[in-house]
Amino acid sequence: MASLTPVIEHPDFLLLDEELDADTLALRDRVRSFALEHVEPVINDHWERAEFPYGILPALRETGIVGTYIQGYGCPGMSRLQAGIVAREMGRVDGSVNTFLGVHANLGMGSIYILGDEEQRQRWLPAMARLEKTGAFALTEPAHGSDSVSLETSARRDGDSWIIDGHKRWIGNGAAGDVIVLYARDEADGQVKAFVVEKDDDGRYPEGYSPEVITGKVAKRAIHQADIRIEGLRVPEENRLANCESFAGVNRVLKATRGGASWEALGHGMAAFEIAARYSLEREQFSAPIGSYQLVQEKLATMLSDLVSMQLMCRRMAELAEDDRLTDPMASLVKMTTSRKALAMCREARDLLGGQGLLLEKHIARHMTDMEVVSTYEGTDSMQALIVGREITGISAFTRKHR
Amino acid sequence: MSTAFHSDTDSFLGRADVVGLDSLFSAEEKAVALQVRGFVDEHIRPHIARWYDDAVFPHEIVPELGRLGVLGMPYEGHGMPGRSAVEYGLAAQELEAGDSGLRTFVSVQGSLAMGAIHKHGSEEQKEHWLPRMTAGEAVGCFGLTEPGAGSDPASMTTTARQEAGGDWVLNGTKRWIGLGTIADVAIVWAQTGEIGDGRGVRGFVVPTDTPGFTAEAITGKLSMRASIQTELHLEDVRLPADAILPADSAVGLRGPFQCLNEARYGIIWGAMGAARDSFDAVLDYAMQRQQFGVPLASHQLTQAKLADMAVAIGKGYLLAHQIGRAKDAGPLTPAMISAGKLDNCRVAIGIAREAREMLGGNGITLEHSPLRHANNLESVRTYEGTDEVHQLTLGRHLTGIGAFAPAR
Repeated sequence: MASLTPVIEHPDFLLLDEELDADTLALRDRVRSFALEHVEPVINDHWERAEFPYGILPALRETGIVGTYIQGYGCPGMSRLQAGIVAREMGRVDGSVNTFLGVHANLGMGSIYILGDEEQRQRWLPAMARLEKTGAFALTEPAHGSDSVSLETSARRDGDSWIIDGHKRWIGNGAAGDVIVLYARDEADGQVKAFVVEKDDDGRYPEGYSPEVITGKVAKRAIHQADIRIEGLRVPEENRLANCESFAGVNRVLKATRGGASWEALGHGMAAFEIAARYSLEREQFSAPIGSYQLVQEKLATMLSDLVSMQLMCRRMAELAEDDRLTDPMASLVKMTTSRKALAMCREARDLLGGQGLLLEKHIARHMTDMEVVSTYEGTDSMQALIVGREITGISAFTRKHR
Repeated sequence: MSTAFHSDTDSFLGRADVVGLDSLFSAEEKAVALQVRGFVDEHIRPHIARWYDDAVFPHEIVPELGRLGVLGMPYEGHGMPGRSAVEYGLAAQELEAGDSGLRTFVSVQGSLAMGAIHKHGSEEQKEHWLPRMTAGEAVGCFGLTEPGAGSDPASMTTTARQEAGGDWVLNGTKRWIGLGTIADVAIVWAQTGEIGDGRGVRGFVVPTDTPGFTAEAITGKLSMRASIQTELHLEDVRLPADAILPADSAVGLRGPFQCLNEARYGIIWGAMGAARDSFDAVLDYAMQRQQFGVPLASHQLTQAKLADMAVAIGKGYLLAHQIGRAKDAGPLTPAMISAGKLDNCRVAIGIAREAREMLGGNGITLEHSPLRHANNLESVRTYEGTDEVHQLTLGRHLTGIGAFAPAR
């Protein structure tokens, strides 16, 4: 086989990583090593069996990345750029484990950090940072995906506790997590509040919380998503996150992690380029590596062009977020662009690998189907386009009912 | 049912038919399509998600497919159905609306294995195999591709050596062979001359219980999971002298290529079946799914996507119809087959992907067909010639210059 070129060895064509500070470079390499040593060898098997690889959790804890942006409570307090690099390097190897980190740390722990009071933070965050307890973020419902702002799960105050009824769906780790942050609408004032549902000491959920793992998934199979029936679930007042007064609280949590899906898409795109480029040098047809053919070189060049565009956009997005200048439409433009490009790259790479690309062992079909999920979550392509469209025109086009 | 919203279409191809495709087909032809659709609705749709999830091919439906009359469908004689190319195409798109794996079975059994015997076999070979294969009582596979020889079959390294007594001895490995583990007979293409010289390639009829023949299923597939692809191992497989496909038409790579062209013809239609089923699934969903208080179908972006899909499906069927009528009138040119296979596969996969996207999170489960179709079409787009192989076939047709192999 022809020897690998520098850009295949490290797909950073415009040398953006050379500007990372020493801490961030070390973080990048630590996450990369973890993903290659602990995730890649086991992920295909778990993906096929639709099981989460719990065996990686001790090594994940050792990386020191759990808790991402959270300051204190045993968490690393990363910058936006550092959090992005983590999502990139995880996505570059596997989407399911990255989603686990997302729901456990960024959304589950993030909800407690941003919406909880000091006592609540102390109560849950350190154990979650040590992965002794895992978390989940229960927001979306069967009828409320893109418009989760209209969620229907209800909460009714009853003495020192709350009674919650409703139905949640697509909740990552929602059937196994120890600490579930559940969003419900207070019947008294119509506002969305946040509640923490905990397993008891025997590892059982309280009565009225009935999760079922969604089966038949064809993407991100190694992370379980739950469909959760909630009937007469009693949550003590002390488990209501003290600083969530309305859906604006949800938005604050989402804003703190906004851009994560774009960085993850970038990771999948990097993987697609690396896999395709390596294969083009290995695979010979008509007595020459397929990488020597014009049609293949043109495809690889297009992939690299898309990859560099994504890298630049993600880098700029992190800078703006760090300065608190990142607006919703800006983040939407980046999400829309990175999702489209990464999906196209994965598909092109899958196609380039021919029959081999259909097998788990080559990884690319897993990246490709996992990327379908990234394209949908944190806002579908259409939603992002309409957020940008509203910014361009000043006119909201989400629904016609307000016209 | 959302058909209540669309009572104005009575095309046998349903709501995706916005260009009057219905008028292109005779009543007899439409009856064939509807008969196959009834079979798919009854025997395939209720189970396909489970088969796909469990990576199981439903072996038990093979005789049912024989009774349906879709095995060796376009061929005549030896009990074969003898239907027209257009009727066969209509059957293929109905089967693939169910699942690409099912249409692939029919292609491997009919176009490749039976096609090879029908086109190139001796009278004895035909009489021995074709009636049973038509009935689905015997399964055939077709061993051309090898681990190192995909788009470039001339580089195959499986050998067939004739001994002084006349026996043939085959050695080599074949990969990506549909049905190998359940087949009763394998058509194996092997090199009788020098490796790298396609002119020495010949076909052999190999009963799979011949000593030295083994097959193992390829696992870890993320596409066509309700279908079997295998690796065949041939270790000193000894065959009598009359196991070779004797016809002059089977000498060299044109032997297998004629069979591949039959399969490619079925794919031109089949891909549109998967696209049409994806469209129907997402149209139903868009009518029923409420977000922001209105059905998804009421949004402009949704309507634009549905419109583009229906137009693309209409054009794909027109292309298939044109090629089908031409095939019924006489032999097809390689350029026609490549044009149809190239474009209908890439159009179909685009439609299935768009439909998946529109289904949002719900689109990633097997409850809805589009992601299954999109993943299946990854295989369909690759096998029987990748995009590049067909582009270069057309390129050679247009320029007279072969560009497959590197300039030396």
